[in-house]
Amino acid sequence: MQKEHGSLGVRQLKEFNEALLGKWCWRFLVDRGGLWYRVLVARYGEAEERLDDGGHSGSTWWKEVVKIRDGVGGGGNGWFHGCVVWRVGDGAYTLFWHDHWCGDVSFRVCFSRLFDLVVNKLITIKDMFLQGWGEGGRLGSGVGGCGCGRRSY
Amino acid sequence: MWKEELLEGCRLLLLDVSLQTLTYDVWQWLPDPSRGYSVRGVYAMLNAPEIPQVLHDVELIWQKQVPLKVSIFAWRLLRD
Repeated sequence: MQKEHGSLGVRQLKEFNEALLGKWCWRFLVDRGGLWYRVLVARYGEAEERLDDGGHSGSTWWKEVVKIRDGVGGGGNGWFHGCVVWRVGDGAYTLFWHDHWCGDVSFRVCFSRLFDLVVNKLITIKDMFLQGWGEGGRLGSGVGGCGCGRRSY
Repeated sequence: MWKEELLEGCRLLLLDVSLQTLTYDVWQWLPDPSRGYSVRGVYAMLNAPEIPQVLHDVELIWQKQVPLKVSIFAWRLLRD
């Protein structure tokens, strides 16, 4: 409730706490270079650019952050997941087969039998494109729809 | 053969994709794509009152100046 509607202007603590914790989840995605991130990697471990949830050994803070990131449990409700999207530009940082860049499923899952045959399973979209999925294998001029989806995080 | 069919399906999906050579691949915060995450914005979002649909209908339907049979008709219509 807002002040003009008769409230005292006290923050909704639960929501405010979630908004603050959510900021960490956002920083996991866009600000991995800092010392703080390396500390978390050392403490909880990381697989495929995703920090482990730490199981029972996580601190209270960490458990709450993970809930928001993964959208589970009381605090989560999935709002964080629903607000982030991986926007593909030149494709240099997106793995063609593994990342969810074209809808909600990865090509690895969608075309698992093709994926089995692929030699370079970690190829980026950009390299894949250069090798020629487009007409003549040229990079587009930047018009038309680009991919977006939810890469794992 | 299955391989050709799969490949064709994959190729069809890629037909619409055109890479943006001048921009990087980035995470985007949908509520505010240009500035990204802000605690203030998210706090407001989490506190945003969800529009109480039923209450809204009730206010709309049950008006004194509207004949009762019209109100009842509208009420039944919305609940069908």
